[in-house]
Amino acid sequence: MRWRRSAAPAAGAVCAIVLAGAALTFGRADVAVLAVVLFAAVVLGSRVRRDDRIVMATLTQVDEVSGPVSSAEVHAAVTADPDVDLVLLRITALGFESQSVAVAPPANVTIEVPLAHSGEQEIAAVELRGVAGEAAAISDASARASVRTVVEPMATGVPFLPLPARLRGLAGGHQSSRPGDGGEFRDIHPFAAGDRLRRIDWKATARLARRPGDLFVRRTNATSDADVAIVFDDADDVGEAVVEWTLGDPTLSGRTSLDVARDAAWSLASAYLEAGDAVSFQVLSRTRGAVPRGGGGRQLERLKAAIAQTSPHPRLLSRARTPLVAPGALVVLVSSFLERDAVRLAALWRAAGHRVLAIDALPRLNSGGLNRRQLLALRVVLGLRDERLHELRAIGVDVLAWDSAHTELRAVLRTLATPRRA
Amino acid sequence: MSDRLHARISAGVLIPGVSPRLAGALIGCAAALTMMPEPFSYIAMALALVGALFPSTLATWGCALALALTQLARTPDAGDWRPYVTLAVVHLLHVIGALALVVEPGGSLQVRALLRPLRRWLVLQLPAQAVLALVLAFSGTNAPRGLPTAGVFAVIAAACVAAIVVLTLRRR
Repeated sequence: MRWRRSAAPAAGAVCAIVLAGAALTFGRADVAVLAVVLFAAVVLGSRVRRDDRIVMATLTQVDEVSGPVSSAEVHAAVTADPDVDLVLLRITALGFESQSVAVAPPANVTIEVPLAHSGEQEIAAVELRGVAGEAAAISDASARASVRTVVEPMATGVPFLPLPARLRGLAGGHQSSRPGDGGEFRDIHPFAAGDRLRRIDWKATARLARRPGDLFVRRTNATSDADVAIVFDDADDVGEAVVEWTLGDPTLSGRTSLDVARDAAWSLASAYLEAGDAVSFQVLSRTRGAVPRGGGGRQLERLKAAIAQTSPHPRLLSRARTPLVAPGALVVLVSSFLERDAVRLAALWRAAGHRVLAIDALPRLNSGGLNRRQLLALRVVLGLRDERLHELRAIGVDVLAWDSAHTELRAVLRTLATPRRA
Repeated sequence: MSDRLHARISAGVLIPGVSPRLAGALIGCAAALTMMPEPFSYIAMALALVGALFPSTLATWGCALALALTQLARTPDAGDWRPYVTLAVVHLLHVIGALALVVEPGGSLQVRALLRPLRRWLVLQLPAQAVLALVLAFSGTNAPRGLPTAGVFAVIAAACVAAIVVLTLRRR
């Protein structure tokens, strides 16, 4: 750590010399005392000239963030060499809000950071400078120490699950159109080779048999599981406060589109997995972070980690890649639809016969603080976005705005979950 | 527009980082008003205020120097309170001015961080005030005749006290 001298000792020394000169000139001993005291203060303050004085801070997060929480606590233990009087801490919370505190070492500083967003984030970072003597020497800023954490998204209960046109497999929680075991009553059918004897419905046989030896069985529907591919558009992350879109300050933005998208993806993923379906997860901007198709408790944990670790990756020049989805899978496309890529992909999947559910992750916007030009620009952006959503509906994509009232969300999900003719 | 989310910092008792600047301005202005004749008091007050607003101008030391030089206009008298206050204030302005140079006005300052500079100030002040009292007693209008030159005596005595203090603190 490099140390440099400040102007304070020089200023004190100049004062002392002027006073000593005046004392000698005018023969005043009392003024000479003033000069000597000032000079002694300067000498006391700047007596240490070592360059290897150590100033350091160790950051530890008090509790691991598990589940949605409102704040995180970080402890900074500040230590320094004994001749360091003061340590100047510059604490940056959430990458934007900066505060400075001057403490006497050793000191324990507790930083309570409000967590308004899900996902991986730097909750606190500390840079420090040491001050020795009467501010005689100041060190350069130390290397930045930071604490990062992953805040899990919040799951909303999804009581009704939209299903793909075709279900697969002979296990799962959904009613299949095929005859089999586990489902509800299907029909009364003449006994055929392979039918189990315990399925013979004797009352129906007595009623319907025309010839001796006619037997009727009671058939049920099979249960099947669905293939669900969650595709996450991570191109942008815009908050409720439109005026902050250019800066992206997380302390001012309010709930952002990625917060909504993470909540939606996690709510749907956990609901489908609970229903016994196979769920995969893919991110549009990169292949990293994808979770292949699977089910069960371990898949739930994998999905939770993958969804929580999503972060914005603007696609400035590159096009969104086209994630591969299982044949017949329901594609859940989570996006803010501020870019056209998502619409192009939805059209591609529709053309391949997939049912596509578009989750609109744009939060309810607050246009306060915008000037006339910005309002006009916002209208243009939202107009283009509405056009894209219309286009999606036109090609048979179901659109669901996730950041809407709970009852409204429930009603739309119920409608979407109602079986339809293909 | 959304309200900004603020991180809360706890580090014992904290005071605003602007406090050293305010203290420098207050002490400088109060001392100038009570101990300096006009129009010099206004100059010292202006220097104290400039030093509080822009510590890097080192105007606080200008104010301290003006206060100290006012002592020249007074006849040395051990019964006068002003030389003692001047000594304390000049030294305090040096300590506060140094703090104001490094503490950000928008930040916070731990009260505990003031203890070490104030302890050093006190350690220097106690013997210095005693020496000043002696010097004023021997060099004043009521000083006994036949003693060595009071100025030389005072400088040597003060230097000795300062050296003792410096050596004592260096050993720690």
